[in-house]
Amino acid sequence: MASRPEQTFFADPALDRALAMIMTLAAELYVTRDHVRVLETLLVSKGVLAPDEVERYAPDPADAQARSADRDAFVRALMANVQGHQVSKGVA
Amino acid sequence: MSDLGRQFDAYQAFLLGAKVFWTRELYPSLRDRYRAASERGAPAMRSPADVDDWLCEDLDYAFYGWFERHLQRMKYSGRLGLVPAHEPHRERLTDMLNARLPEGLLELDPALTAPRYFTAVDIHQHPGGVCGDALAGVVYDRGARTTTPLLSKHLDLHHRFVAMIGGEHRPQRIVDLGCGFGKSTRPLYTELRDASVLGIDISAPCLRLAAAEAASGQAANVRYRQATAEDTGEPEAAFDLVTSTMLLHEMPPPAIEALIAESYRLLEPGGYAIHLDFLADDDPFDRFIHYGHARRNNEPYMPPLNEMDLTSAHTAQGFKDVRIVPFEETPGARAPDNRSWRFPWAVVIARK
Repeated sequence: MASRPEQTFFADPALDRALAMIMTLAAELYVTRDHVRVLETLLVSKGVLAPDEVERYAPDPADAQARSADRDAFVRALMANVQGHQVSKGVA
Repeated sequence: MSDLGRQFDAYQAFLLGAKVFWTRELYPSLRDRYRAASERGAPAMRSPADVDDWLCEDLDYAFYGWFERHLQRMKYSGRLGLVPAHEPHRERLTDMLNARLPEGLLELDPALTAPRYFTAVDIHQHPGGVCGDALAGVVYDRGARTTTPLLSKHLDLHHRFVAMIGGEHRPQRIVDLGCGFGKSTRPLYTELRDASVLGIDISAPCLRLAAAEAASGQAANVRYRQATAEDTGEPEAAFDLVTSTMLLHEMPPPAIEALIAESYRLLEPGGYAIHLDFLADDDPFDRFIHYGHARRNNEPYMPPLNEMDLTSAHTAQGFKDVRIVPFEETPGARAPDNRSWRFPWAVVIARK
């Protein structure tokens, strides 16, 4: 079937597409939240975790350092996009 | 949990929650702003086009329209949408649909060609439509459960319609045109047990599901046949009730006129035609919202149905006592304090 343009609702059609990405991400986020909650419930019911153990988790120094590095990398990968730099040599 | 797994359930529950918010919050706030503007007296809004002029650049209306369009798209499509989520279960579901049925319960017509008006558009944004794929009926069934999220049980309105029919008439031989997967037919054959019921539809995948459900319920007073509502192939005067539910708005006016003529032919003298469908009243905003829904939900024949003179269309074929009455799909749905979005349900009643 030939590709057909989707209906648009906003003055700038970029918003239509960006909102579709937001809603897809929100739906996936909810699916993940649901899974994490089920995992915690099962782990508690099987005696692997105490209730609220994840929420109260305090990492030891080595794990805290690994977590910090992971968070920094995540933030950098996200935020670097706002600078609009080319990452390879090319035409502006 | 459904048979399609927890991720599917969570995804669809998220979409349903968003649809409920749209139904209860976005629609009423748009309607309130329209009413307030109308009361201020400017601009004069006498037609859906006037409302369109007023709202076409409105940001709240843009979000309202976007969510109506795309929550439905997401329901059917995407990683956990209805169509792809059924794919891993194809073999099991196909076996269920092809299970042996009691003799005479289902009559399919492999030579039937669906009318172009039916195949040209994927109604409800259901990719491939309700006629093509073998699982289309199963997908449609599951999708129909969340189209109008405020209905407490998805069968509820059909039972209310059967109760309304019972208030008019005690039918013995019923034909349910455009019966789909049997959602409207089931309350007829389960609640009117001394009546015999025939369900007619174009879609073989839908009819297979309807028949499988009737077989599992051991229903003895129903059968299903694949045919069009305009040309059922049934004998003249063989029925005392011709009914349909949410069928007329899926057909262009010439096909509806053919359906009315066929209904008259099928009925014995004194028999009734009773159709449940959507007819927005003359309020410009209500009509604007309804026509907008039609565009956003791939329902091209809703506006022309709304513009038809259904009373004249019936009397032209010989029907008498034609009435068009509002229908309340859930208790209190038409009460003034219900501010949520709803379909403009209406029933067309005519006597031969």
